[in-house]
Amino acid sequence: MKMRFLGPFFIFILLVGLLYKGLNHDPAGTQKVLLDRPSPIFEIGTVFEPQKRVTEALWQGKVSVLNVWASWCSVCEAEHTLWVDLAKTQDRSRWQLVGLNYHDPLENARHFLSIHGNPYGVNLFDEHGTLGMEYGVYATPETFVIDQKGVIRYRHPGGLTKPEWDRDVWPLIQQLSQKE
Amino acid sequence: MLPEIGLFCLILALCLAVLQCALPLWGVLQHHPRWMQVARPLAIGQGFLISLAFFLLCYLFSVDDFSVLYVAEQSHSALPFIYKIGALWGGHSGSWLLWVWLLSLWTLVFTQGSRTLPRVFTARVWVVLGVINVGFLLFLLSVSNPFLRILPAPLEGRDLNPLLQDMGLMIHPPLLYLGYVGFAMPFAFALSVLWAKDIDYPWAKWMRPWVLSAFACLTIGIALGSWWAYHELGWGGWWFWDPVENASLIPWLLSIALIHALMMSDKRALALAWSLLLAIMVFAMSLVASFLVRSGILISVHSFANDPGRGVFLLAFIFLLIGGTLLLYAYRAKQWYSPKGLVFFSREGMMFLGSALLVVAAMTILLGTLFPLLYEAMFNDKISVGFPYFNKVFVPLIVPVLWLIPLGPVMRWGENTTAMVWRSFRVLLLLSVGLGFGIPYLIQGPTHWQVSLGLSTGFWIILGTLKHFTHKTAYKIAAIKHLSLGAWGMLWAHMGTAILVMGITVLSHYSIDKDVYMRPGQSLLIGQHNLLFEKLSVLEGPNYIAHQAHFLLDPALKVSTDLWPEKRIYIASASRMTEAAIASIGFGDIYIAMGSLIKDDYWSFRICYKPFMHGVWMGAGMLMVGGFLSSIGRRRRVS
Repeated sequence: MKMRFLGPFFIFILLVGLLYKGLNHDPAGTQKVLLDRPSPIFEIGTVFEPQKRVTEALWQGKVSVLNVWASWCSVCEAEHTLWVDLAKTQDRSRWQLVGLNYHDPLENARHFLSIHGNPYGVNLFDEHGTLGMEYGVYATPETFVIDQKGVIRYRHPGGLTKPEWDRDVWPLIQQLSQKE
Repeated sequence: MLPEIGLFCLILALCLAVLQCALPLWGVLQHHPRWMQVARPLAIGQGFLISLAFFLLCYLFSVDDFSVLYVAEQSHSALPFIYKIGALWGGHSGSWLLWVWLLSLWTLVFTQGSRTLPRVFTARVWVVLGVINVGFLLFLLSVSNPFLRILPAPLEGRDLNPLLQDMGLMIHPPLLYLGYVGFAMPFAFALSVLWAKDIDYPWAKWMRPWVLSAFACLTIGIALGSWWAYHELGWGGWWFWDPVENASLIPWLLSIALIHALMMSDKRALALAWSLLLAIMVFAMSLVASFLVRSGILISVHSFANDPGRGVFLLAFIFLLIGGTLLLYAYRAKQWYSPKGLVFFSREGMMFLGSALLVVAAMTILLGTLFPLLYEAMFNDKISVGFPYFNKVFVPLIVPVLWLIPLGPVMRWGENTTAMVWRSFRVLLLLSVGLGFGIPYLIQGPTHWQVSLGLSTGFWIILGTLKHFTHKTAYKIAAIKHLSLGAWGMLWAHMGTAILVMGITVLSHYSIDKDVYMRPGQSLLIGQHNLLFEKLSVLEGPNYIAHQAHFLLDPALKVSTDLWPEKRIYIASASRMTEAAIASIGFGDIYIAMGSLIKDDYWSFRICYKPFMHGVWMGAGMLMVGGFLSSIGRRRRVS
């Protein structure tokens, strides 16, 4: 038996292992990068007003949840109902939901929002992913909590779920907004 | 009573499948032809029983027997008849029953096709097919029984997912599965070849028609799926690099590699081990594709028919079947491995390079598709890999393959001289690059280089293929009659590829997408066409209520076209669906998808102009025709 002919077998074993792991995934667990650092400086348009210039002054005075999304991202689509729901139910005087549309044609982004609803107060339009890069986004969706001074307090790569929101995000927002 | 009969049919079929493994196996081990021969009646019996079970389930759907759990989950009494049948494969159990049924159909074809093949060889094929059947029937009966009853029976069903209520989706899964399942045949052949120690059958010749016909089915299955997405998803797109689409693209690409590798193996006894490996890979990826769709481990637009609990059984079976085969391959491949005869600068060299690149392209798609899983396994989180990755990685890999297409046929088997190849191609090269850059320049001035590259690629394939045929017929019209079906198949498939490539190129650069708010009476200019939003009406369907808009395309013209986009609300599930309206202009489409009521009487619409959209469907259709023609031609040769 030559080793070279065993190659396909080993690759296949890896594949099956991965699929098996996929069947038994468990939630929770986050990356801790860029935490407790001031949010980067930027100047960027929004999905509905591409000409408008929004800057990091956006974060001042209110706790913000920044959600990175794209219309081509199916996990974002699944996650989106959560945001629509939260925007309706959670007390908006304490926080604002900011979207960061990532690597999308403008039309697709707008179409997505017209179909699925628009929970975002402001929706930053990051056509080439430069702002995403500044935040260290490596894939969509990704969610940040940014405090009133513009410091990143929480980061969650991947889709956020309601239990995660209730356990991690909402208490943090309440705690941060009380500091004021 | 009927559901129990259906279940009983499946149990009986399982018994026959076990016998189909055991008896020919005994025959092979004892060199006893009698035992080998019993496989055929056993397979026919199985085909009959599984068909009976399948049609019984169809019947239960058509009479709304909601005492059957699966029918209650998938159907609704108000569902139009045709969708009741389609609902059969809308869910987990039914779609696997469809899978098994199609496998039995392919097997029935093999009972006829195997008559001319040596008995010992077919006996081994029967054993392999039997093992596959046992596995899937066990799966159906143990964890995925479509005939399960519920007590008390509900009065009404839960309704079919409205996304699936579309003609395209009625025929898309059966054809797609027909392709996937069809690759069980080359797999069984490859496994029998590896199993038999020393044989000198022309197995590559025997394998070819099976691969070609499964390829043709898969092509049309994928194209219909894409057609469905285009019409039903309301995005104006036709390919989304969605995990499930990718999963079907992987075996498709691999099967193209296999078709060409088999040609080398058949004609020149080259790349034999490569062909065997590819045959295993194609089926393995077909299984993985079916698994991905039905296990729901990847989130996608298709995540409507999944059940993770059953995944483990299926995965274990795939693991044993494919893993075992690959071990056997590792053990036996050496005797089929002969790299010496392969000359690079030759027809076989080009074919080998093309097939290798196709495998690499397929593997990058697999990586991109499974990367979210890999990521989750490592970092415990969910992400999504979208079109930026696939466009960047897949396109640069596939363009060289496309440029290889005309090289293979025009070059000879064995060593070619560079001078000769250059002589036969220099004019073509100039011409296709000239056309590719010239035509868009003449029409609209400076053009993006990618457009010109895409068009040049298309012209290069068309001109190169024509050149091959003028050579073959020695410039005589009369000689066309004598061309073999295989040659015609190649002509259709290669030309189809060219048209597909040109269609995709034009589409991806010249599509116009507009998202607008309009109210009745307003009009809009898209491309050079005028669209008038005539009126809005409310309409009641059998199981939905719809807002329907009426658009007139170019109302100033004498013959204007009507478009009727709809927004439907399905009553049973309260889900909202977009029915896009499409009108053709030349080879392009005007596409209108209706959004929602914004305010007053303003509605949001997505309106697109898709030039040369028909190129995509035409190209796919030609590829399918090519596959079938070659398959028939090859089948005749075998017998």
